[in-house]
Amino acid sequence: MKYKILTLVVLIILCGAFCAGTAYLPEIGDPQSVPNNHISDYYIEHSEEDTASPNIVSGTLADYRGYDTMYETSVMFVSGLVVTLLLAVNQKKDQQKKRKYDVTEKVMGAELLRPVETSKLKGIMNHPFGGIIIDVSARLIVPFSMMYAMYVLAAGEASPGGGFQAGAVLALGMVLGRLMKGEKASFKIPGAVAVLLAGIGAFFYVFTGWLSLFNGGMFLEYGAMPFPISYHHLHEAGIFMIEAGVTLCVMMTIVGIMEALLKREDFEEKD
Amino acid sequence: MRHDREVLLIMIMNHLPVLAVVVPLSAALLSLLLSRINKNLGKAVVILSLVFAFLDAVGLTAQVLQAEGHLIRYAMGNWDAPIGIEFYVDPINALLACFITFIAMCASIYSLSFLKDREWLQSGGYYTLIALLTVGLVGMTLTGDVFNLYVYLEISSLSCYGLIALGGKRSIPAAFRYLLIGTIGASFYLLGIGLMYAMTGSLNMADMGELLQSQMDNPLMYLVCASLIGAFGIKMAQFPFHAWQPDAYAYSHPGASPLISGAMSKVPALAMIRFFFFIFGVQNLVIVDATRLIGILGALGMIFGSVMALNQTDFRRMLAYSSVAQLGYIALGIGIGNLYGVTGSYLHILNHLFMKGGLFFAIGAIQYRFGIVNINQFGQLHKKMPFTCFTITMGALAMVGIPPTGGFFSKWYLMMGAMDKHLYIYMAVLVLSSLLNAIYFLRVLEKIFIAPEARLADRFDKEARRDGAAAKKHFLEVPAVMLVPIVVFGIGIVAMGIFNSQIVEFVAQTALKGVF
Repeated sequence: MKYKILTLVVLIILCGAFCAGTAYLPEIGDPQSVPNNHISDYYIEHSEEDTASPNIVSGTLADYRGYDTMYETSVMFVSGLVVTLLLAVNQKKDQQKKRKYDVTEKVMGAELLRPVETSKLKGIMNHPFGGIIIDVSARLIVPFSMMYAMYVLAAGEASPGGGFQAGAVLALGMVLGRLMKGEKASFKIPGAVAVLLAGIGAFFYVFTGWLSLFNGGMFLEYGAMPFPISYHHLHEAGIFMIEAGVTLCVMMTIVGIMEALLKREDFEEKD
Repeated sequence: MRHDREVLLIMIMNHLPVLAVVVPLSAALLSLLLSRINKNLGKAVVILSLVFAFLDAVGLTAQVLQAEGHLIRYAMGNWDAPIGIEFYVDPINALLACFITFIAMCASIYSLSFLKDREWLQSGGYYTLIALLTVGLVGMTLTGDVFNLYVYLEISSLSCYGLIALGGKRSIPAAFRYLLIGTIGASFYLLGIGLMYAMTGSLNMADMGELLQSQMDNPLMYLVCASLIGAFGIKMAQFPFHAWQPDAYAYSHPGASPLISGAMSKVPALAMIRFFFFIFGVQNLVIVDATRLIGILGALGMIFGSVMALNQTDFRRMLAYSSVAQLGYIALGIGIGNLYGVTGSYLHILNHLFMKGGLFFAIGAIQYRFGIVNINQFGQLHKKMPFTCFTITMGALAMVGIPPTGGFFSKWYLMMGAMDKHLYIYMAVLVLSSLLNAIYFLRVLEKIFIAPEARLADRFDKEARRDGAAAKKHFLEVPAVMLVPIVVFGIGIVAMGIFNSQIVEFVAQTALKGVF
């Protein structure tokens, strides 16, 4: 109780301090404010000729600060990998037996494994839940959403959009098929392979950096990639390549996480 | 052919800063694919990449010491500093990068024996996480961009949560708690850099440092300092923010715990030094207040961590609480805030990396062979595991601060700093904490060398019984892949003491002279 009151006091002080701090922040949209006058001007004036992207956001994200985006992609991959390692890896048999856990294990004061009534879980995800209406309508949705994803990817360097969104929409098609058809889905990727492919997608991004490095440029310097095209096109190609890598990584991470969750449920049912 | 090799060498020399992170990153991302092809290929590539990263970091340190102004700036994508992202290498972060890659290399070799009979997904995934953790930590040390540091913080934290969660059944709640608290820490960091961006409009550290000088009386600076203390305090497990740390260190995967406990908490500490002394500048009033607060928290942590460590019987938890105390020393040095204090702080970062790394290597080996972590079962362990006990002894002596081990010299510099600033209470705390260290570490040594022999279930006996005459003969106390890192770290603790004057003279002083 004592700690809870202390926590509350600290929280109130923090909230108050940060709210009071907003008074000293520059106004939103003020053209004279400090952040709008330092390097933003450079981005606005030079983005198009530097990065060959008419969209300043894409140009900054994928070119000026492409190095950050590379690690953001890797972060996606790590999250997928950790979920797969923790949930989908079939633990040893003795641990499986333990998982009947009618007993609530108390570890460090926290209830670790609550007893789960597996009967309630049955039929939520592992078994297909498609009826004829869902089946037919999904057949319409999936191809178009996939095509849209390819458009978002291809237009990524020119307009809002790009790899992250394209990957998510592509994964949507696969997730939808898997949820409706269950084990019978015609296009499904095992969770471990999906994570592996996510790693390859992220590597494709790093590989773009290696290309320019081996050709005598700095890391991720698209202008130095070894293709016989103009500076402008090299940047377009570079941004497209990294977007493609991001797409593969994001899509496969989502598929991997879904497969891990489904597999987790498999274990629980078998117990 | 010869010409090609020269060209390659020149290329490597020009790109040392980025290669130190990109090579392990590439290996990590491909590790799963290679493990799918052949289980050992994935491991081998990651280990080789970490070896390369270590050699690269050594080369980088040599290069930066000879470079003009002791500074190397590497612009990613050839976008120069405030526009793009750059790596900003000076002697102190290059040397820390050396140490991190070294401990990562040793930990990756050491882990081989824990992952012998695992599936490709598990072993490949484990090595991916080790390599990515290294990438994150090295990147955080070398980067010159505040947002890039956040991205590295994220990648190292995520892989660290994974490695902790892989440790076994008690590790999942520990990892989850760390996940929650660590995310709060990362959010505070983001708030801090958001506020700084609002004040300067730049994300580059050097650029931001210049622009902030005219804004030091802005009340937002107090919020920035509070956010950064919160963020790095949580990440380095400084005293009031340490709650996640004992469980996380104790229950993490035994192969990865040297890396996690040795390197994971040091990098935020260096980042703190970098922000407060290199970017903000210690001559400003608000920074003096902020560092004083860090120092007070550090002093409290030194007492608190030591007292809590006295109370533990699990060796790993004892080490974890002792880490809270040792991070207190580093924070104390930041709080003293003069040349000696920060030198001591920096030296202690390096020393503690070796001490804690070595001790966690040792306890991992004991756990591997006998399955014990309780101090009371260590009776006469030196007969069974002489080399491991050598490392524990060296680590214990260094923790207490007995010359010629490294621990003595970092404490010496901290003492000199406190003396210089007439902060006698800090000196008293230093002495008191060292005495407490002596109590709980000598208790372990007493168990190992004097207490009656404990009856233990030996893994090798079990193997011998199972395999009969076909059993492998064991000439070493643990497999060689484990023994080598243990011995190297045991010697390294002493070597740190012997070479401390070189580190101080060529590395710490050259970089810190410009600040004070």
